[in-house]
Amino acid sequence: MASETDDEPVRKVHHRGKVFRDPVHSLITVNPDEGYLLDLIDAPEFQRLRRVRQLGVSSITYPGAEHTRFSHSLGVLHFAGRILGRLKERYRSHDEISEIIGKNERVIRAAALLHDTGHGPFSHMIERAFPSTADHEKKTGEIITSEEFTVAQRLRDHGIDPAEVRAVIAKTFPYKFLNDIVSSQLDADRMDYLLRDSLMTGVAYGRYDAEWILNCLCLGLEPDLNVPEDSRNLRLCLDDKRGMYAAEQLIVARMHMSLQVYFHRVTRGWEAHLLCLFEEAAKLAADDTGGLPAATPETVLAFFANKGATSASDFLRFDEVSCLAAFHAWAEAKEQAGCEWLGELAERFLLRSKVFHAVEFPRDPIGKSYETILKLKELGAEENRHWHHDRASFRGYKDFGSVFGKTVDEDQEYISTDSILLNDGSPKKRASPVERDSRTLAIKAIGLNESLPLNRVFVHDTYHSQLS
Amino acid sequence: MHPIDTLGRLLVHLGEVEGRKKLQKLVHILQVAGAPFSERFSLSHYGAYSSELRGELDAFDREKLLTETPDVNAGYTTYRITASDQLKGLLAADEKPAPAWLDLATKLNTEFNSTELEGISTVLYLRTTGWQESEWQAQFNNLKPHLSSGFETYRERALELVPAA
Repeated sequence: MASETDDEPVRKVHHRGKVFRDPVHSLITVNPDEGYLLDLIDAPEFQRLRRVRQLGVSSITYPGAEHTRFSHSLGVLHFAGRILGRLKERYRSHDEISEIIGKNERVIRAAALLHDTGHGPFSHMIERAFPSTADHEKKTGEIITSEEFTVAQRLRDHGIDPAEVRAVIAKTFPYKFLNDIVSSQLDADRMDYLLRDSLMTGVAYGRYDAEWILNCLCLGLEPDLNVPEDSRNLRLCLDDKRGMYAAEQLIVARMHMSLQVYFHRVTRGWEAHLLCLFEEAAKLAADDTGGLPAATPETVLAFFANKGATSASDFLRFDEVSCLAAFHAWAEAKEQAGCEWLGELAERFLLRSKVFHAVEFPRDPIGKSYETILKLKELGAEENRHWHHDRASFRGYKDFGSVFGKTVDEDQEYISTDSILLNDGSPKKRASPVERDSRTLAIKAIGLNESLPLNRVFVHDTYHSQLS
Repeated sequence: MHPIDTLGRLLVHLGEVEGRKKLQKLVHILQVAGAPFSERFSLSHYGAYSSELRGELDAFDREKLLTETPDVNAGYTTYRITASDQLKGLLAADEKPAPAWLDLATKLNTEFNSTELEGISTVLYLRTTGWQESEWQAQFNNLKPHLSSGFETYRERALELVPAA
């Protein structure tokens, strides 16, 4: 039996595989020869995801949305494995592609599993709180490679280079189609979150024909004719004869989920509420005279004192459980001098008592929201205290942008980044974006819709009535 | 920060930018240098690219806050981007001191072309995604074989324009 030191608990030796029951995939199986995955799942960095909900405060709007980044990450691992399996089967007689997949399969599966480990509490909401929390993918990269965390050593123990896993997440891994499996318009991430979020919220719009999408997966060359024709520039595509309508369904599902769930006015309003609360907490944490209430958990105190920059050990403990404990402490301290605003916002969040009201801009959202903000400033209202601008450009869920506007010089990049690609399966042939296919029905209508993206200003009770 | 305070201020200050491709790289470099642009960038074949920024530019265009004028050179179309009077009017209503990052923006816009900015922004992308400096060249050559001969120049310029913290 291995000994245990004070610093490091004994790591389990996995002789058997594991089967997870899952509401989306039924069973997610990790085979006995995939011990590296079980070691990663056991890592404290991955276990922490049990305490970060997938949709943050969406459960205020959709009470069922209590699922976590942990279950989603297992789902992404499952889909990534199925995509790899499909490509292996389809290109079994293509030596170079088979070799590329065989050589890198474990890196891709590790990246799929770990891709969300950098998420903070309340998921995408916290990315808007401070510059240091703005990019969960950057934090994920740090967790995978920094020696301050356990993941890098666990990967090396199984002969996997952590830098390669990080590269897949940053999309700098040399084979584009392998990056695409983890991050693209057809990635395992999106395939899982749409189905899972749809199931857990009860919003059926997010469903799509995942089995048919998997069946139609193939490879094709990057559409841009200036990109060299080699295996590094192969992209993940759908079969153009069979996959186009499934692609349309996926895009429509995503658009409806964006409108009905991810950008829901009520959910975004509560996110605005939390962002104002976090701003106040950071202000108090930096204040030498009073500071945050004494009962604030130490990890939360450190987070706000450093405006979101946390040490490795604090990061592992900074989760929704510690945040909610802080909110209770702050609500109880609302009579304390200097903590009145903090206490009120914390209490009203816990009681779901609305403070901020949405002002929407169905036309000219950029200019009109700016004018509204100028007016609020004239009234003496402060940003992230009395109002919060819910920016149009926040696209944590990769919503579908317009590709039917005028042609501009960056179109090739846009197609490469934002389009679902179609091809006949030949790795020698250029892929083409689905929106350029003359058979499309729904995509053109969505692309021409100028109402996306959304743009709102959430305004405190006191000032909301003065705006009209 | 409101996109008019970032992107809008940038366009008014620069007067003219030769094309969205150049603007994309320019904003990415400014963001790495600490300017308050919050758009998310990923890596495309031509370097750092943000579809969020594309969406914002489309929205600015729809609201007539910018003008794009096509220029055809050797069969290749680029678009000169300029701020509209409407955008200038909105910014004039909230006069603020010019932020320091605008000086860097001028330098990037006047001293470098689109391809040079592509090389520089790719080096900075590698830096911000955690690659060690010793790994940059190999990664750069992997990602940008068409620019690999200029790597050393792009590396030097990147470090000079945006020194590591």
